[in-house]
Amino acid sequence: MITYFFDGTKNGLFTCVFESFYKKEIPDNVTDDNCQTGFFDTNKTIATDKEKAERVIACLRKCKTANILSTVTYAFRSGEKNKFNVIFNYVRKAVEYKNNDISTAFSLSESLAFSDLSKRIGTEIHRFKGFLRFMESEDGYYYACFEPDNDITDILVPHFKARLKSPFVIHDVKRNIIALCNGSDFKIIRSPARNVTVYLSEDEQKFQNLWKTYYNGINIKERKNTRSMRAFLPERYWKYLSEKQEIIGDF
Amino acid sequence: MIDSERLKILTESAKYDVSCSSSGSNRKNKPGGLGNAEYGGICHSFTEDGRCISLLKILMTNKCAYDCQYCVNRRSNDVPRAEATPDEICELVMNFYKRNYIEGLFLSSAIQVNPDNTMEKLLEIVKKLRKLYNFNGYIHLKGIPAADNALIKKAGEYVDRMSFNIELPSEKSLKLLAPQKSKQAILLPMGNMAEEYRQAKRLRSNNFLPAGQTTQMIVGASPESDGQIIRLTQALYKKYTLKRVYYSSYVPTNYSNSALPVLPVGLLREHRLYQADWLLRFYGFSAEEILDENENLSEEFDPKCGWALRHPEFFPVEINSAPPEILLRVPGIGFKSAYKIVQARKFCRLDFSSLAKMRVVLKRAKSFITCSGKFFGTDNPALIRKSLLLENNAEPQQLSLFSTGEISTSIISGQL
Repeated sequence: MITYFFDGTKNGLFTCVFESFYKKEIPDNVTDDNCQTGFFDTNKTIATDKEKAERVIACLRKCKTANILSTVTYAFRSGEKNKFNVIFNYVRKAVEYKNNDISTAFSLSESLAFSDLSKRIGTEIHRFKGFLRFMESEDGYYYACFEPDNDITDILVPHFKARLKSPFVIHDVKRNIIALCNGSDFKIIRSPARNVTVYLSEDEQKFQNLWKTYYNGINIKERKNTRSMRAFLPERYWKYLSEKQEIIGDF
Repeated sequence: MIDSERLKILTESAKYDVSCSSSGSNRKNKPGGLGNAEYGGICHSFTEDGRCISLLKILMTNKCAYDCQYCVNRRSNDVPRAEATPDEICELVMNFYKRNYIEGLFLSSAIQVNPDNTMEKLLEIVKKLRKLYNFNGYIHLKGIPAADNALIKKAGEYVDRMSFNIELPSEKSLKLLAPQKSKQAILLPMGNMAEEYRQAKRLRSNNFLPAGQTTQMIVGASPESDGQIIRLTQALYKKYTLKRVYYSSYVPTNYSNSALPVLPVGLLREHRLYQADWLLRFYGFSAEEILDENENLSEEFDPKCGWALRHPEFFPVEINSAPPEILLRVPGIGFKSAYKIVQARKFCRLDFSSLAKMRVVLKRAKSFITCSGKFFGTDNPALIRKSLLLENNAEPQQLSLFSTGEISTSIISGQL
């Protein structure tokens, strides 16, 4: 078994692709993690080399595979452990089949795995367009926090910018990413860990309670189907959904 | 602000309306306004019954002058009554929308005094929401049949989608269970709106009902067969260019009327009807192909499998050359698999292992397909039926006197 260790950057991954072709070897595992490897395994640490990465990028530009550079950038948003292997294998395959478009060649397991990985990111983006919950602060801005599986905060901002008129904040608690939007411009802050305190407006709790009343009222008890609910609304997202918390205060 | 008790009453009396979708509209936000519509629709939450919450679904009032037997809000039913003012509804929509709880409003109402009066009030609310509150999110308005056509048409300029419920699948049942409603009164505004909608589309205008019309009918409260229902559905799609027909399996809310069944209709029947509805809308089937007029849909097999079993002459289908609409007729191949097959076979010939990789359900599909001429299925009809049946994991069970609580409730809820 050959394992490539690299720094987890895009250029680092392209350097791995370069090395793999240069040495005529296919690594069984490409990772940025200090994972445990077998006693007889070959471990190689691939230092990111901008020049080698550029050569791979230049080659990919000539490949027939559709939008390979932008789809790879997109796939880097994935939070899955296995993502570097999936991306590496796909890029290597695209270079191998230089004159064919492999983006929809689903009989290749590399293409299928890559397409599935990207689709899971897209699914989560769509889900959070619905599952994000804003709270109104004392000074009139709206704050939402969530823990998405993938790094999608900056993709969500334009969607909410188009529909909300007040300034808002979207906070990825897991990755400590904060998106600030004042209604016309937005910026993304990838900040180190620190606490965020939001002072809620007077009405916030009332509307949260009304929302819970609505959530419980619209359910048809005779048609209980918890399994289906859990499939559409996975439990890992419940933490930040107000309707899944108890009703607070006398109301 | 509306109080919790009234919101509860108005929500609980609106919950039997099935439609939840917020799709089909591209409405843009206006300067200083709140909200827009996403064409594909967005689900914001899911309730314990597995249905999605996309819109704030409430009644303006549940004080009803009508006495439809199947309905919780009928005049003769002793339930708490409430109503909400236009401003209360608008405020609730604005505040829920800002917090991203909802995609918009689904507004319906009981017939308070007469149809015109009710429609007028509904129109006032949607107008206020659009003009005064500058709300540009999704609005689905329930039309009041027998209301003045000018009022209905006016409402069409403000909302994204409108629906008139057909309620029951035949005129006869309507007479029996909803004496104040008539088929004519329901279909007339539906037809008028369909005409307006087509005209707006011809003028490439997106201002009139951008998301079209839908309807809903109750299944199992009256004796119509699935064949009749599917034929009616097909006619509605063709004649009134409806976007969706919803089915709602009957849940007993009135035990005093002997014309109504006492037990709820299982959810399986509703599920099969939706499957047949999908075949009509997306898979290129016609109602006549799916089943005969007086037949009911099979409980064992879904309608597509049923068709495949009745048409052995159509199969096997060659994966590497069949056009997509033929692939869609194979049990075990749905939209996603058909797309993957069509794309992948441009690159190289496909065999059974590549199909398995693409997550085609080979267990169901294998007797209906060939890959490069190879056939791995069986010709034995009994075995084919068995391979299609394997999907149902639970064995049917006879209830005993001492059945566990879980099974008993599953019978009541229809969750078999």
